[in-house]
Amino acid sequence: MHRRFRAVFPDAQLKGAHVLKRASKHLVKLVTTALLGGLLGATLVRFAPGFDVDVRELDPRLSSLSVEELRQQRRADDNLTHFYGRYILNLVHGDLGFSHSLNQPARKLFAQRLPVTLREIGVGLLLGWLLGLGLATSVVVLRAWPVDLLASGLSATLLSIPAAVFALTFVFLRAPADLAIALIVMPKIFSYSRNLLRRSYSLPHVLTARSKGLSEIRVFLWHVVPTSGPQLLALLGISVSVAFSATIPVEALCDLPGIGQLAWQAALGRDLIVLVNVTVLITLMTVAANTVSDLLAHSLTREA
Amino acid sequence: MKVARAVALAFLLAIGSVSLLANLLAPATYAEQFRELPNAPPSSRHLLGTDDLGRDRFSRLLYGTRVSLLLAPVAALSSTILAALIGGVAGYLGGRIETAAMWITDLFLSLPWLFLLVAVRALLPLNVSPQVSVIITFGMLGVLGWAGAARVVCASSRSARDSDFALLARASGVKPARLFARHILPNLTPALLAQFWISIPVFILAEANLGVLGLGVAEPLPSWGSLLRELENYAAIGRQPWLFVPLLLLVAVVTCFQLVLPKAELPA
Amino acid sequence: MNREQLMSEALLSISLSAEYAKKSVLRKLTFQIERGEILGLVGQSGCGKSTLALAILRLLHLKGGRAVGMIQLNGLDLMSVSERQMRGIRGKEIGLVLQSPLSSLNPVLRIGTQMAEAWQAHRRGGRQECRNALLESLANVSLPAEEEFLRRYPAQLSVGQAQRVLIAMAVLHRPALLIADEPTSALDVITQADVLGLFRNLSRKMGVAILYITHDLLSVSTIADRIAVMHHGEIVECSEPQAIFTDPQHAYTRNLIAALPSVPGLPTIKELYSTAVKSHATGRG
Repeated sequence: MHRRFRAVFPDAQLKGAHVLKRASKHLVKLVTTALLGGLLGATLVRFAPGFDVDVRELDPRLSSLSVEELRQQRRADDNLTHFYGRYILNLVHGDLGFSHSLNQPARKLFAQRLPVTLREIGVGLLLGWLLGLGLATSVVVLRAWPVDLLASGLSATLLSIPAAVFALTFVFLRAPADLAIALIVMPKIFSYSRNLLRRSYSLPHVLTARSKGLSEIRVFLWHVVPTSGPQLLALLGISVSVAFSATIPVEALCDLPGIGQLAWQAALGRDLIVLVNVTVLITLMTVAANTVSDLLAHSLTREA
Repeated sequence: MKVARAVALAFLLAIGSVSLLANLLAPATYAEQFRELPNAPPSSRHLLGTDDLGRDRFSRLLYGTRVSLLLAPVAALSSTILAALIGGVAGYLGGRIETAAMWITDLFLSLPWLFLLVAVRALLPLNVSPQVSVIITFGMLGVLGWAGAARVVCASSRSARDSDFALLARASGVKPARLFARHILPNLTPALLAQFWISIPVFILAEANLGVLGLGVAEPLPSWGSLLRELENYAAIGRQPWLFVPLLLLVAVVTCFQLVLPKAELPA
Repeated sequence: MNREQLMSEALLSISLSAEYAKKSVLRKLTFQIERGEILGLVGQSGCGKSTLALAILRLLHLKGGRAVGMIQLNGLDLMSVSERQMRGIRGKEIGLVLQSPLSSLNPVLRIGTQMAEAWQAHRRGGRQECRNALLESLANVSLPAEEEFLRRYPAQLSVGQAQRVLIAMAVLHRPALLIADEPTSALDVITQADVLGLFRNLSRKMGVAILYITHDLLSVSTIADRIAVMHHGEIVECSEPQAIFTDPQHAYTRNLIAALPSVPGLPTIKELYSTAVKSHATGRG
């Protein structure tokens, strides 16, 4: 077994060091991105028109004392450096702040809601990839123009439907929301991988493989897939982004207690703390996904 | 396929022109309420009936199409220009500037921009006029949407700078700024054009999503997103199939945009 | 069909028309190749030479083309066999070598893996038998017949080495016919001469017929038994090299010859051939 490993990776030690170096570069990138992303998001939100007005202040039921309290809270948030400083300090201590709108510590909200979203995205991505890649493979291998036309037409139509409408449909049909995410992700994966596989099929080395008399399956698995691999992995990172964006309409409309719904509710309730933290969290996860796919892609390409 | 592209383009132009003439073609304004006729079925006076506030749906569709179909390209144009400037200059100058610019681009790409969009839109004051809300919504799309294109543009710019014709130009003493404007930029046009066309349906869909979530263009100004909100009434849509018309129009238009595009893929 | 007829029949007999998306590329192209013969097919770039190569192997549909006509290999009409049968013929009866050697090899697989794959497509045998066959084929193309070489990746080979590997793979099963489509276009002159010599040696040693497709009349004339000139999808002339050079029949052939570079002060090819013919004739007489 060890001999086999050495045969595949003759310069194992060198390669290992290389991978570690690359991974650590990515880690630094990840952390800085997340922090800057959060700060950037907070800045945009802070300087958006309407930041100063809180709808709750207009509620006639609140006493003047409560309104004054609200105003003080907002004034504290007003000072940006104060806000950022407090934010980073709290982050280091693991305290993600308190949500005004939902009256709970933000950390607790995240802990409750993150698993829901992760499960939903996991299932959605898996199904979306299976369907999208499977359909693309059949279209390219079968090379029958009716199949191609049908699949492309279907994909184009699905791409034209807003995610929110998918969500509404699934609520109406009482179908699981994971399927909604899968259907949102699937057409993008299908069209990209179909084009990719088509291009890989027309490469010279695939022609050579065919001329050797190899079977279709072998040509596909051993010659087409390896050359498409790195780019498909890049697509993986992007599809994670797409899936996360889709969670807002899907969770909001299908009433799923996940991060997307939290963001929507926080936006309606103008909860700055929660909004910033959600931004940072999602950014972190997206960058992590992109990092993983990038590292995988690099380990698969052969460098001379 | 050429026939399909021509038909799609013709359809888009037709819808675009009709919506531009909304003022002339609409039987009523988008806010005018016919209080005695709420939820009316289609008739010769109200081609798509009225909504629950008695407003003529057909007029609202015309005005809504004008908002969605005409402002998305404007946002796409601004994001393409931003991508051209940032990506183009970065690729041309190269070195640390390029690395920094691409790093910022990656950052922007990693930001969950729908989350940001949702956040900013929700923080608008209650008394902002619909027109301002429209400008802010599509403005944000334009400002946030450049990242996807910037990578591609940067790569094109770099290869144009390294190409032989640029080398020749520099060898004959052309100044850098002029080189960029006269030689590099024109070669970026295909990539930029492709990105422009890809962005339009993306922005239309983004606005539609915001609208259904109640975070789109402010009432009473209609947009495709806000018109789609009526589909949330599940009980009604069975009896009132004409409620689907805005959705069908949106799907048709976005599909046409995809047909008109050159065979483009997702920017990787 | 009795044995004499079989022996006298050509190895490959073609009469083919082909088109890409309604655009006609080959117009009832007709020629024959005898056993063990090296036929040079000369024509301009883009006149359909590669189309012919793909059409013979029935791979033209991959590039969106259609071919109709007759392709007879040893009496078997290739246009009428099933895809499964055709796969049995590809690599075993007919070998293919393309131009751009480095992109014709799969970058992520080792040379040994790719060659073993070619071997196992048509033979059942043990690993040792396969290994021996691969090393022998490497030796046949003057490459180091060592395990170490088999474990390399294409990126670690030079262009000349890569081309030799492709040739080795193509003749692994000792096919009756080898189709070489512009095999030396990507090579420098010295490597080109080496590879040309390799083709000639393989042909002599293994008795494999070669359809050598190229735009370079001069280089192929050094090894070809006959040259077929292709123009506008048809064969306009086909005869031995010396006949082509000394007495071209068709106008296009004449243009081709006239366009050959000539070094001032040195005799032209035509003159060289003419003197050779004369001295050969006088030598006889």
